[in-house]
Amino acid sequence: MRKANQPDPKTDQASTSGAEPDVASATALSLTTLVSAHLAFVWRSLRRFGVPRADVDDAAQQVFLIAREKLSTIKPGSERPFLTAVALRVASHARRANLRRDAAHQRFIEYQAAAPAREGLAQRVLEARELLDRVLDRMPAELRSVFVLFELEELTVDEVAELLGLPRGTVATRLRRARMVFHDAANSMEARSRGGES
Amino acid sequence: MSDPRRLIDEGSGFEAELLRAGRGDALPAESASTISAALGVAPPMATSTLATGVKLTASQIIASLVGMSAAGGLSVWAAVHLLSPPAAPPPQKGPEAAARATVAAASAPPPIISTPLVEAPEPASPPKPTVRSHSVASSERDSLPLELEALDSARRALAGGDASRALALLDEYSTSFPKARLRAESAVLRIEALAASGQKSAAIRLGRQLLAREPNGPYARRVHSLLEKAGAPGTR
Repeated sequence: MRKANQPDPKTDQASTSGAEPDVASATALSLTTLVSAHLAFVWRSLRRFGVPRADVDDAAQQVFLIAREKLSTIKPGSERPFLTAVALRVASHARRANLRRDAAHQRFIEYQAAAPAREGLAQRVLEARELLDRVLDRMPAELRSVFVLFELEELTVDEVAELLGLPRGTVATRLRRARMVFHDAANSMEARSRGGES
Repeated sequence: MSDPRRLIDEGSGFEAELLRAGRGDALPAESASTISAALGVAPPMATSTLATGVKLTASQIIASLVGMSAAGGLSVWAAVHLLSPPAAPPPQKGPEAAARATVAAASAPPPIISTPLVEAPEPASPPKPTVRSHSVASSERDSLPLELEALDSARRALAGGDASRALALLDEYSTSFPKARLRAESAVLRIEALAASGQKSAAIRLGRQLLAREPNGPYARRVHSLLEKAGAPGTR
């Protein structure tokens, strides 16, 4: 098996040029590959793991900066589990930081960000997305990650297990518990939106 | 052991609506550019961003909007490519192309990873990001997932046999998105909805307008087919 710090002939131009690739260029190419292949997934995951929209770009950048520092330790094929684990930790930090913010200010920022599209159906989708955030916020992190990867990323239970380094049974149990939390939270939210309590 | 069905398929309407909204929350093209620039790497091609970022919506919704499977005449990849922003970089060779191939593969079901989870480092003192978010600036591009959601609502109404509702939703779509990026897709849906609601003349008229404007467009074959079904003479 190719070692982690060896240039991948499929992705690294330098390895086919005949010249010995220096560490810097090899790193840059590997980071490029990592970003190209996983940025969208990392961004979505951060968003769904609870990072406020206004902070997701920074958080994504942070994930890849950490990954760059650890490029030589990431085993080929385990890039996505590595990035998921980093994203979970970065999201956890971001959530804690966000809790310390003024909630009204945060809502204002997100309203501003969405303002040009807040009409008709677009508004309803944004509102639904905001409600989803609130429902997910009620889940403990270990349930949220499983729920997000299965229900929103549409991974299989086995894939979630591989990604999070958990036994399949644990994933299945967490998914059941997460669904109960989701169901309860969605029900109470729907009841309130129908004119119940405020 | 088989997996449970996903909530979006079996949950309540409200639960499914929340999940659909969440699935549409994808990486905006501008964020991809900003983050890549801050990291000093080439941005992922816009099509890749869309295809993976909206993997659960764009590829599936666009394919279903125009009634074509990925194996059909027009690939989802090509359909998504048509929606890429004008700033998308040209195709490149070398590692970028290889990376994009990886991304293309990522729009298929993710691979099973056989290696154990690598221990992630604690981001106790992580390198500080050098850029701030551009949420406001990117909001216009953020409308793509919203457009997809809106059109998907119309498509579902049509698939459920409620063509009038589909037409109303398409009207609402036109009002909500004056600078819509999925105009062609909405026009194709409208043709289908008009025909399904018995307004075949209107469907044929709209179809011919669309073909006159884009005779070789990505949906030309689909529109021809719809016109034939609507009984339009001489559509081929």
